[in-house]
Amino acid sequence: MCSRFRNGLAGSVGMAVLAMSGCASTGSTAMAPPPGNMVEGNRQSVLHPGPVRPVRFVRNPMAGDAEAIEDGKRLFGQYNCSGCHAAGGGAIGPALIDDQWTYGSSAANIFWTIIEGRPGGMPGFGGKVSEDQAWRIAAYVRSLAKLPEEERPAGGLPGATAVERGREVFLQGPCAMCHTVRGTGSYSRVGPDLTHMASRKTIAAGTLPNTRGNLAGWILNPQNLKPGTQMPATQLESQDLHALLTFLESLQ
Amino acid sequence: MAALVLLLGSCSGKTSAIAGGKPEAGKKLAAWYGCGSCHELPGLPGATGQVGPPLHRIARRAYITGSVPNTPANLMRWIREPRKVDARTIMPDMGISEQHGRDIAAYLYTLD
Repeated sequence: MCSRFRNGLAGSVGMAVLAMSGCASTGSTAMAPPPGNMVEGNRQSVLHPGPVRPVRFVRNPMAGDAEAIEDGKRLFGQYNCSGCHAAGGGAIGPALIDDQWTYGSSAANIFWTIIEGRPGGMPGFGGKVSEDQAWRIAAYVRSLAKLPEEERPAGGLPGATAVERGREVFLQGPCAMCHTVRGTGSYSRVGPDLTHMASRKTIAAGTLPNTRGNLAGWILNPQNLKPGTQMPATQLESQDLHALLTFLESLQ
Repeated sequence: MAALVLLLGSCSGKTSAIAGGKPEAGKKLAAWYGCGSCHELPGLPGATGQVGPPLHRIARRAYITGSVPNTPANLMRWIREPRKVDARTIMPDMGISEQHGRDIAAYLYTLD
């Protein structure tokens, strides 16, 4: 019970952190900010609901870039990642060379872990590491574990069904940082468990019928529908939103 | 309201073209499907969405969706299958039936 409470509290902090960062402004989301000009960083001591900046769904721009791994190695040392993770074998923090990935092993998962931090010790480096640098460190970390190179063409996975593409958006995007869908490898307890999302009659704490339209509006701009909610706005390309909606509607 | 409908009917023929569309039913459907989560709809409680454009006086607009003329047929098609009108739109297809689309379009054309 005690540890559950602690997890919940830490999770709430993580949520606030997620809420505080994301992109700097609506206008900046169309293009990635230049390297070294990172979106505003984490303020782990600040915890309050209210207007939050949108969080973007990110794709790995470094896929297949060997130079990125070299840069990532240098940055890994520069930012003292080894202080907790040693040379990848782990010490205070978890090992990075095994096949255990508490928060996911995709480049996007690792990107978010670096930028936002994780409950229970990993600080967010969002204010210090640029997005470009975070992708390079993620590429290096993946290489430590000898994970195969990711191919992530824009527009989703070719040949995948809408449900599969939507699951990808859910897991790679910010959704999985707060929500659980059992059986997918997501298990954050910050927000409600969405395992049976499609069986729910209402969303937004009972305020809206659970329809595709309401779900879309809730995901894209929850603050407007329920001021003060901890759910941050999410900015998605339209194809990603439609796939995500289809995935959520498949969760009976 | 009657005057507005009459006005629209005489000017553009829009309301007369939505034969069989029931604005009162359309209002309830708009609330249920959740139009107001993304759009502002005057007179509909909680319909304060700021994702898409507000729908005040939509009957008077020349174009909808930024691309097609504002005709009853286009509006109904947009409501029912927006992604067939514009593949890149963020507006989701919500599985709205033809009659429901007709009712919602009739309702939207009454908005002041």
